[in-house]
Amino acid sequence: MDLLLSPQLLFSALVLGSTYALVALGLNLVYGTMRLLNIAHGDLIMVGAYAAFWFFTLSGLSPIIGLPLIALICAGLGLILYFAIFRHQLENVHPVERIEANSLLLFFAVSVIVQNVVALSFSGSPRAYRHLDEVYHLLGVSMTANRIAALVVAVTLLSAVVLFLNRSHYGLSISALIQNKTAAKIVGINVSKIQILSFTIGFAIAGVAGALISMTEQISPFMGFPFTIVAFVVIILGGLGNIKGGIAAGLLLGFVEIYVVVLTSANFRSILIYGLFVGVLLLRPQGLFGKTRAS
Amino acid sequence: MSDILSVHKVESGYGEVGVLHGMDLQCRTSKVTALVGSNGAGKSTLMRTIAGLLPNTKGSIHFDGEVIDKLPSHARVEKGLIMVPEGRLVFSDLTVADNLRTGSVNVRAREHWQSTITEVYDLFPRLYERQRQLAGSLSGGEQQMLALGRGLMGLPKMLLLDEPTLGLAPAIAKQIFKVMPALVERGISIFLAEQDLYRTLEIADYAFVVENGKIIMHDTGKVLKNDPKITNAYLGDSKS
Ligand SMILES: Nc1ncnc2c1ncn2[C@@H]1O[C@H](COP(=O)(O)OP(=O)(O)O)[C@@H](O)[C@H]1O
Ligand SMILES: [Mg+2]
Repeated sequence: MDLLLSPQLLFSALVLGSTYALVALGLNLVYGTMRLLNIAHGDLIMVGAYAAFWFFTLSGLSPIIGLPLIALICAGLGLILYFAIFRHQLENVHPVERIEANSLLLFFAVSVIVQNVVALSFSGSPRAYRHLDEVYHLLGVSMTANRIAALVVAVTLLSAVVLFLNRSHYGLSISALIQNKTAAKIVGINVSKIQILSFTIGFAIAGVAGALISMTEQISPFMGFPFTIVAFVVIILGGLGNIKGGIAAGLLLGFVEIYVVVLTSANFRSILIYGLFVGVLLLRPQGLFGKTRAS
Repeated sequence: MSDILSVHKVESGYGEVGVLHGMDLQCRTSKVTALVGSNGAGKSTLMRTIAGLLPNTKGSIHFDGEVIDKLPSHARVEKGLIMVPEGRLVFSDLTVADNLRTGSVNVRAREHWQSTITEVYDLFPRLYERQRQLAGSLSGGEQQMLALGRGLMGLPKMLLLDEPTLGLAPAIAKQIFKVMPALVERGISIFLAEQDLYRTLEIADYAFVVENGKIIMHDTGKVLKNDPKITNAYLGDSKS
C-alpha cells in the first residue's frame, strides 16, 4: 500500500501521462478537424527526436531551448505534406469515410518514406545523448532534471493549447470545426485555413513531444510505431476529436501503465493496457469522455 | 426599392442528382420574402446553394450588388449573407455563449462581438440564463433561438431562415415568428422557407411557391394567402 502512495510513483506516472497526452494531442487535432488518420504520427515524433539529437550533438543546443526550432521544422514538414498530398484529398474526395480510408494509406506511405529516409541518412542504429541527467532529491523523490523539464514543458504546452482553444477566435474555430464542418462553414469559418492551421499545429506538437522523449529514451528511425499506437489508444479512449478528453485519457493511461507495472510485472503491461482499452470500448464505444454524436 | 438578393436561372443539386431546375427569384431589401412549397420541393437545396454549401451548376446569384456564386461560404458570410439552417446545427458540445461567439468569427463582426452578444441576450433572455450550459442540453426551441442568435452575431444584412419553426411547440413557433418583424425593423432582410403556410404568408411581404425545383407562382403574401389554389394544395399537407 505504501508503494502505491509513494511520491516516486506519482512523479513517474505524471511524467509518463503528460507525455502520452502530448503525444496524442497532435493526432487528435489532425483527426478532429480533417478526419485524417495519421498513422505516421509516431514518425513525426521520431523526426522531432532526431532534430533534438542533432542540434544537441552538433552544436550543444539544449532541446529545451531548441523547442521552437524543432516545432518549426515539423510544422514545415506538415505544410509540405498538406499542400503536396492532403489538400487535394480534403477538397476533392467525398464522402468523409473515403478521406479517412485514403488518408490511412497515404500516411502509411509517408511513414515508410520518413523512416527510411532517416535510416538511410543517419543509419538504423539507436542513439542517445546525455543532457540534464543530474539527479535531484525532492520530497523523497529522486528525479533527473530532464524528466522534470519534460513534465514542465508538457504541462505548460497542454495548458496553453486548452487556453488557446477556449479563448482565441482561431481556437474557437478549431473546436467548432471538430464538431460540425457544415455548421462551421455556415457561421463563416474559413474551413481550409483552419485545417491548415490544425495540421501545422498538430505536426509541431508531435515534434516537441519527440524532442522531450529524446532526452530520456534511446531514439531510432523505427521508434515511432509504438507512439502511433499509444496516440490512437489515447484519442479513442478520450473520444475522437475531443481535445480535453484526449488529454485526460493520456494522463490516465500514464497512471494505469505505471501502477500496473508496479502491482504486477512489466510483462503484463501491454495486456492490461489493451485489455483496459478494449473493455472501455465495449462499455462506452464513444470513449470515456466522448459524447454520443449524431453524425 | 432594390433587390438585395437575386437568383437567376440557378441549377443545383447533389452530385449527379439535379434538384433545382432554373430557379428565378428576387428578395427586396429590408423585407420578408418567403419560399413555400411542400416537403422535398427544393427549399433547403436553394438555401444551401445561396449560402455556398452547394455549388450552382448553372445560373447566377447576386447579393448586395455583387455576383457571389463563385465565393466560398465564409466569404458570403463576410458579405453579410447568413444562413440559419434547417435542423439548427448548433455546436452541441460548446456552451451557449461559445456557440454565439462562433457566429462572430467573420472579420466584419469580430470586433463587435461583445456588444452584439448583449443585443442577442436582450432579444432572447432565455439564452442569457443558459449561457454557461452546453447547447446540446437545450430544448428544441432554445436551440432554434441559439441558431438564430448565432446568425445575428455575424451582423447579417440578410438572414436565410430555413424552417425555423420545424418541430417546435406552437407557443415557441409563435415567438420565433414575432422576432422576425423586429429584425426587419433593424434593416435586416429575411428570406424564409417554411411549411407553416398560413403564418408565413401572413408575415411575408412577398412569396414564391416552389415545386419540383422550380418557381410556379409568386405574388404578395396577402394575395397568395387568399388564393384557393395555394390553400388547397399546401395547407392540407403543411403539417405532415
Ligand atoms: N443530401 C442530399 N443528398 C441527395 N439528395 C438530397 C439531399 N438533400 C435533399 N435531397 C433531395 O433533394 C430534393 C429537395 O430536397 P430539399 O431541398 O431538402 O427540399 P425541402 O427543403 O423543400 O423539403 C428532395 O428530392 C431530396 O430527396
Ligand atoms: Mg427543407
